[in-house]
Amino acid sequence: MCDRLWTELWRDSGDCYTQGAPKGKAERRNSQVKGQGAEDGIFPRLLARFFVYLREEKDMKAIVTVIGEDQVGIIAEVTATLAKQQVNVLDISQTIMQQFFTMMMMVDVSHAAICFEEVQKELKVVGDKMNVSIQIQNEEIYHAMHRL
Amino acid sequence: MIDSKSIFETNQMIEKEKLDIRTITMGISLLDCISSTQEETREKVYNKVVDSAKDLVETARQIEIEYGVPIINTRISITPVAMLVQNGTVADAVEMAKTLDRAAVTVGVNFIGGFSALVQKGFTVGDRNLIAAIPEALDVTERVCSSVNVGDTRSGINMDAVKWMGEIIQETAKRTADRDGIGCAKLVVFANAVEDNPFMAGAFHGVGEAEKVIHVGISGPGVIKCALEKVKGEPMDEVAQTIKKMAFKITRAGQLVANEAAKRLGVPFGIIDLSLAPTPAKGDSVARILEEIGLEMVGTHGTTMALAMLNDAVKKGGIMASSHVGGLSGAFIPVSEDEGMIAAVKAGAINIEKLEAMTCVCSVGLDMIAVPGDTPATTLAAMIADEAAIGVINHKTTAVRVIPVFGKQVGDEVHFGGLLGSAPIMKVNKFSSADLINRGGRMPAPVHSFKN
Repeated sequence: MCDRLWTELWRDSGDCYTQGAPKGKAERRNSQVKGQGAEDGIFPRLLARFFVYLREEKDMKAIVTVIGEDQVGIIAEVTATLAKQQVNVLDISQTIMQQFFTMMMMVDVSHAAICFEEVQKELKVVGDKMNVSIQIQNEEIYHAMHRL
Repeated sequence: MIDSKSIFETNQMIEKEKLDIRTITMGISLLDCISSTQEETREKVYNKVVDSAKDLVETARQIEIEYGVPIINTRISITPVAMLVQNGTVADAVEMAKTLDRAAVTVGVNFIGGFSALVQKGFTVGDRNLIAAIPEALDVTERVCSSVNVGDTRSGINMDAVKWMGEIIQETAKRTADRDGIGCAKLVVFANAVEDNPFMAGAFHGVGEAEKVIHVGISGPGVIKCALEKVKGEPMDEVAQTIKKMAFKITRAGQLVANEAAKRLGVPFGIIDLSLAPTPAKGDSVARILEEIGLEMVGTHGTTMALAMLNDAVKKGGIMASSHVGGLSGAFIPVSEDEGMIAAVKAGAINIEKLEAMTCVCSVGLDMIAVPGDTPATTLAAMIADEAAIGVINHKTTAVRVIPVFGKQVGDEVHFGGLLGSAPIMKVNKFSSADLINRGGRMPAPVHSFKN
C-alpha cells in the first residue's frame, strides 16, 4: 500500500490519464489536482494529491462468495476472520441451492488491518479448513459486467 | 447489493468457462532513443523499456488478485525496430533484438513485439537491415516477436517483400529446426497491419500512437460456447443475440481491467482488442463454438458463414461495452493453439484452402499452420501473396504465420508447448508458384469503387 501511495504522489499530474476511457475517478482526480493550481509548486500539489488519494482509498467494497457443503459454523468462521482484520460486513444473504450452502456478503475492506491479498489468503485458509470454496473480489467487476 | 444470479454467473464464467484477460500490453514509443551511434541507441532503448514497464507485471498481478479475473500475459509493444536501425547494419539489428530480449527478461514480460518493418511500398536501409536480421534474431532470442507489413489497401502489395519473406520464413525455420521451427511462431507477415494490436506475434507500437499506452486483449471462447449450449436449435438471430450479450459482458470486464491498469501505471488507456483468442486447453476453443452453432466438424461447408456471423456478433456486442476498440478485434483461428482445430485437421475436415476462405471473414489469417519443411520458399511466398490480396482488396487485416518443420511430412505432428500448442503438418499444394513470385515488383493499389 505504501508503494502505491508513493507512486500516486510522485506521478506527474500532466497528461497521463486523459486519453479517452479512464473517466471517473482518474479524470476527476486529475482535474481536482490541476484545479488547485499546478503553478503552486511541488508541495501543495503533493498535498492535494495525498488528500485525493485518501478520499479514494476510503471506498472499497468487495463481494465474498462461499459455496460448499452445509455444516455448522460457516458464517461464524468467515465473519470472525473478517472481523479480526477490521473488515466490515455491509450485507449478507444465504441460501441452500441443490444441497449446497451458498452465501454472499458485501464487505467494506477500506479499513482492513491487512492488504486485500492477505485477506484473500486468510479466507482461503478458512475455506480449506471447512472444505468450502471462498472467493473475495472487488465488487466493481460485477457492476461492470452486469450493469449498464 | 448486486443480485446473486449475476455474481454466480461471473464466478462461473471465470472458474468453469475460462474467462480471462489474454494480455495487458504496454505500447512504448522508442523514437526518442534514436542516437548517432547504434550502441547509444541500444542503451537508451534498454533503459526506456525497463523504466517504462518496470511495474507492469506486478500491477497486472495485483489487478488479477483484486478482481478475480485471470490475466494470462503481460507484454510490451515498441516502435518498429526498422526505424531504430536506419544508421546501422544487419549485425546491429541482431544486437538490438538481444537488447530487447534482455529488457523483456528484466521486467518479466513474456513477449516483446515490434521487431518489425513496414514495407508495403518499398524498403529503407533500416527495413533491409531488419528483415535480413530476422532469422538470426529469432534464433538467438526467446521473447522477441517480429512482423513485417508487405501490403495495404492504399499502397497495394510489395511483391519483392513477399518473395523475400518466403525466403526469410524458410531460413528462420532452418535456423530453429532443432526446436521444430519455433522461430517462425514468432514471425508474422501482415497486410493492412494495425498500429495498436496487443496480441503477439504481430504487436508493434505504431508511429501514430502516443508516447506510452495500455492496450488490453480480451478472450473467452469458452464463455461464448457455454452460452450457445443454452440456445440449441434456435434460429440464427437468437445465436447472434446470445453471442452479442456475452461479448458485451466479457468486454466490460476487459474495459474495467484496462482502466484500472492505465490508472495504476499512470499511462493512458489505448484500446480494447475484442478478440476470441483460443488456447490449446479444452473448453477454450473457437472451433468448438462453430461446431456448437451447428457444424459436425469445423471446416465443413457452412464454416465460413458461421465464422462470419460469430466475428460480426462479437464486434457488435463488444463495441458498445468499450470506449475505444482497436487492434485485430474478431475471432482468431490459429490451428496449433486451438484444440478443436487440431482435431479437425487430424480428422481431415479442414485444409489450408478452407482456412484461407475463413480468413476472408475472421480477424487475421493463416495462423500457426505447420507445413512440411521441404515446402519451397516461393510457395510460402505465394501463400503470403494470397492472404495479402484478400486483405488489400477487402480492406481488412490479414496475416500469415506458417511454420515449415524440417524432417516432418504431412500427417506427422509437431509440439511447440505452452500456449503455442501442437499441430499436425498440413498438406500444401504441390504445384509451383515460382514464376509468379520471381516476377517481384509491386501489385498496384486496388480501385476503391465498383465493388462487386
